[in-house]
Amino acid sequence: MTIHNEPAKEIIYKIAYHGPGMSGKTTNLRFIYNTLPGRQAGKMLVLDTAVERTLYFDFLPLVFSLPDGYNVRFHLYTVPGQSYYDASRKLVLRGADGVVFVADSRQERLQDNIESMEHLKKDLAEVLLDYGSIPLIMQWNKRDLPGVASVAELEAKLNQRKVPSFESVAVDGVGVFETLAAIAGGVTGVR
Amino acid sequence: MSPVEATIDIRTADGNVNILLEEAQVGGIKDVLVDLCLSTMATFAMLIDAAGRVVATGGETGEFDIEAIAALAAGDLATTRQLSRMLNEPEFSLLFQHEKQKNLFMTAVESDAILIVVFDVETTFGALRLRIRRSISQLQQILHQAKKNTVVSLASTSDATRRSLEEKEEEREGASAPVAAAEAPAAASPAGVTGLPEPLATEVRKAVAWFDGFKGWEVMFHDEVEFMRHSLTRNRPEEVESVRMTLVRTRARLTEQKRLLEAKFRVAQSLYGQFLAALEVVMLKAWTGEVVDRAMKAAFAGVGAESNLLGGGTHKSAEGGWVLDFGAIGKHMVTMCHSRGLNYQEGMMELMRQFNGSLMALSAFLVENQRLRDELLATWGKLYHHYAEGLKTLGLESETLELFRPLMRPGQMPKA
Amino acid sequence: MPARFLELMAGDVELIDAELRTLCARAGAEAVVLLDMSGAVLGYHRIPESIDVLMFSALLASNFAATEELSRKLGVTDFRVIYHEGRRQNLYFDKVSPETVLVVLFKDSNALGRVRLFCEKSVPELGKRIAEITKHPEAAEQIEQGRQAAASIRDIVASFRAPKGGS
Repeated sequence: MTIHNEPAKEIIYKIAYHGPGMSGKTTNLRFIYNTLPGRQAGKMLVLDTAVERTLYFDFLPLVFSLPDGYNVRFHLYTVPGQSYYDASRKLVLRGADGVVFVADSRQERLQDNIESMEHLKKDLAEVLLDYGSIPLIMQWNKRDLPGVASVAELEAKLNQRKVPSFESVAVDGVGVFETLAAIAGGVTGVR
Repeated sequence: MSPVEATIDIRTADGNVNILLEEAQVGGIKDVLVDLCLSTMATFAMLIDAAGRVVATGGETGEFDIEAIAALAAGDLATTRQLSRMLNEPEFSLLFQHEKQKNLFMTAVESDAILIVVFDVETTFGALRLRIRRSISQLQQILHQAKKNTVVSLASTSDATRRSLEEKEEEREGASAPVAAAEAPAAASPAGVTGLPEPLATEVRKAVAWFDGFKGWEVMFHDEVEFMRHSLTRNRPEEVESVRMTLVRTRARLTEQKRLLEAKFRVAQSLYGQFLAALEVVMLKAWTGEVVDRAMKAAFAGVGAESNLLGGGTHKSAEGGWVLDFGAIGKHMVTMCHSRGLNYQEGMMELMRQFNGSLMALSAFLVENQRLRDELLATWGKLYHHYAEGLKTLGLESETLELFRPLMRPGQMPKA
Repeated sequence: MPARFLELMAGDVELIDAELRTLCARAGAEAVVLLDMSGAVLGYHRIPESIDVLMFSALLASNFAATEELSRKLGVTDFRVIYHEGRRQNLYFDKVSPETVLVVLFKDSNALGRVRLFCEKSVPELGKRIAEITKHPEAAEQIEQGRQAAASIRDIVASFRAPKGGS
């Protein structure tokens, strides 16, 4: 949900990172947090279990100060990927302006990716958002691992809307900012 | 050590630790929860770990999506904890009240587990608060003991932790080192040659096959069945005598257990059939048949097809009275046991609990009306003696009688 | 185009602030926050300096959401309030609209009745204002500054690529 506070010269967008468990959603945020200076990336909140699986969500507030005094904020959230957290996952999508789908490129996780895509469609509907029109970017993560499916196959199986997609190795930061730039463009109405 | 029933993940300074809970400890936790519900008339109570996994439940959980509730509660607690940290607040306990429907109370037990109690208008929150404090200290004792016994190790017996550790290895690039599970996998040697002489081998095969079909008994005689199963694929002549003894003993014990179970079933049939009839008569004195029907339906039907054992077996007879079809109810119970891995005795206990819950619900209808309350107590008087005896047979006395205690005014319990 | 777009002009901000200030004073509260369920803050009064407002509101919103969903799973159909009782402070949440929540932080748990009462008065006022600031989603795309910010991120990407061959 986009908020424009005119007197405060502030605009807020919400972006949610979705995808199956352990696909690299939190890793994306961590890389962004570690790369951007403190004036652009606020404190990151991580709610996870003792074995570092996202339990409810991660939150990272980004802010870009413009010359005219405006502060444009992108609030990044990740959802818990595991099915066990179905009930809480959709809550994180409430009011999202855009979604990044982080897929685990490995062949053996293809089914998990497909299921997660189905969850995304269902979750969006339940929080009154439209899967067909919400700004969406696909990220094919873990490209560096052995046994990855081809990009063509991932596109065919997961990218029905044919939205922009990016290959990535989030743990090394490859593709992370490209993805962020793309979704930021999407939610701000850049065509 | 006895088989691990459940684990709770906690985070310590040196890494991740699982609190391993043995069967007895999980049982102890369950007892505390059941006790809490019985003494406060709470709908249900459960203990979950900080990751949202259910450790144990007590009370009427049948109609609820327990796993979703656990996952949400864990998320709730995680956010509440962060909030309290931000506000320099040592602890928050959550209460949300809802006058007409269900209320929830949630609080942390040790730093690793969460106690959730769901109650409705029948429970007064003040009384619940006091009672919960006692339950919490009981739970703390059990968890504390479990922590002391826990071994910090990477080769944990928890499936979930093993899987997540495997995935962690994969993420770190390089070969994923398979983490050895602490439990040996079940022996499944295909074409093994048995060392058992022929008539015995056939008997053992028949017995094992029979247990495969009756999971509720298999759970109860698990060790014996496994022993016999393995003997069919091992060539160990020295075992023959043991196997023979095991077969004979198991058969004898099984026969006895079956007889006991059947007897209990008959007692339950008699007790509850009578109660139902008596309650119906009392209810009809105040309300029309329609209202009574709705009350009966509500009390026995409920939601949650798999766990509700009574709904499918309760209906109006042609003559107009309500009837419990024990055949159908029994079948439901068996199905539930198979799908939940319970033995049939446990299934019976669950059935008794559901019965009591239903009778409680119906009785609650009546106690609001003073005249009917007196009628009910009079009816009680006649039935109580029979009921108390019957419950003794079922080995259910204290637990179940507690449920009805609130209905009895002090001093009104008829003497045996 | 976002699903929802809220635009606050000077008058809206003044009104919301005034309402929150009044509530805070009457209820004897430590702080008051008006939140959107997406996690963003719409207005607040007297949040202590030491508290990171962004993180605070994200947590408050997600806490309410989880509890609301939890109550749905328990069969509650008209969920509206939460009360967290602490040793030193308490939090009271009251739903203003399906996507907006009012949160009151207060010290004395005995004041719960007073907090509830004054929230009940503030909630309809705030609800009206929320309805008025809810604009047509398409209007969100007219915001030039949003596009500029997106461009800054593209610049960041370009700056990574600048030293060729480096890694």
